[in-house]
Amino acid sequence: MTLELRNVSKRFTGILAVDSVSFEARAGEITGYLGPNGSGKSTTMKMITGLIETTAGDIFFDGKPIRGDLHGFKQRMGYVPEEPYLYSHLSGLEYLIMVGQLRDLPAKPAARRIDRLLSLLSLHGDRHAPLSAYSKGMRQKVLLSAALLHNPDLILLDEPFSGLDVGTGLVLRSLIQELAARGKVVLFSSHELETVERVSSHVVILHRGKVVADDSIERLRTLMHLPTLAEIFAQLAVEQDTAAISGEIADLILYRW
Amino acid sequence: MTIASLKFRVLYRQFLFRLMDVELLSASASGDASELLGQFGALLVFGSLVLSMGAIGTVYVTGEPGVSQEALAAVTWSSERFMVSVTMLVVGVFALLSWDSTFLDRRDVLVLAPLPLRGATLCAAKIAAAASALGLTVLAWNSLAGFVWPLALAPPAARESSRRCG
Repeated sequence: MTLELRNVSKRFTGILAVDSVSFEARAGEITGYLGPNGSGKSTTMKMITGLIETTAGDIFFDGKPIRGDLHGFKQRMGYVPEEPYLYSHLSGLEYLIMVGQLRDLPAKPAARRIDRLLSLLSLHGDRHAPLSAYSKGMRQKVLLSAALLHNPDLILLDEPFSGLDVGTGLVLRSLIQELAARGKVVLFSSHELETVERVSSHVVILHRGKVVADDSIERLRTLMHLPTLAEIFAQLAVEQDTAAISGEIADLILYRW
Repeated sequence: MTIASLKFRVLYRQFLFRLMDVELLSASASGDASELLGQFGALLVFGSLVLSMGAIGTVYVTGEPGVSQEALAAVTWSSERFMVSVTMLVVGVFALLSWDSTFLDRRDVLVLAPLPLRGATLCAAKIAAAASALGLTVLAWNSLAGFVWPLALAPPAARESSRRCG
């Protein structure tokens, strides 16, 4: 089972957000998708989920173009979006039941799974509270539960650690590894390079919409003679002199007028 | 129930709720869909009750002995026009308040697009929810006034005969 992108591009009114991106994410492997802000990570994720159309190129899952059977593809995909949009008038429990119904899951087993997921993610006590009263981390947990509820083959996680407390972050980190070990295709984007380095076996680094690295972390370390993923990332995708910029900001705010 | 109809019902319920999700009401409904629908319905029925009060005054006017047919027709016509205009106004105000909810918004797209849903099911549920909301608004608004006004505007002879039958 493989997710494959072949020369995928996306243009927004003159701006080329994603430029001929190609890579493969394989089953049993965790693929980290990295890039600075505005590099096109979330746009790629949205194209894979079918939220937006590609301008050029094709996306394949299990050897078949996803456009051929988008409905069938979505049944096999779980997605945690970057922005935690939910129906805030529903409670966490109601939201997950709705997702279960819309995913054609059998009612009773789905209810049991939802109940267990809510307990494991420490949301059981708040399951009847409206989502509008949930914190960002709690919403993220609901989105994670919704993405995993139907046992997907492909798991797409766009900034999944955003807003999570330390404990849940550690649980998620192990969960990602566990799911990959059980044969799922996992693609996740994050700015937490330390986490990506610990979790991922393979990374794709994006810069200004183009893939600048697509390899295992080990091979990248060897090829670039750099010890950490953060340093590899800085060399490939960070153009600014970070020390100079931080120094200038400090000078600016400390200046007495 | 088929899978498609179950999905339609789930979406229809969500969309209907969001059409009624007027900020004025949803703040106190605290996420309870049936409570919000109840509040919305009660608001309209109360408006209908207020409108029905006008019928009492009309009964006095049309019930007076010696009222000419022309005067009776004039009162009836103006009252009917008033009722139709007020109903149109209520439907208009409701359409204005719920205009944003009539179409799929960013939230709908982000919540529903990753799910295996057919575009036709989504559109059908949206249209059905909008039609139901307007229908329910007209029904609730005329729930009392629709009964009281025809009784008040009935010709005195008909009123007399109905009293005798009763």
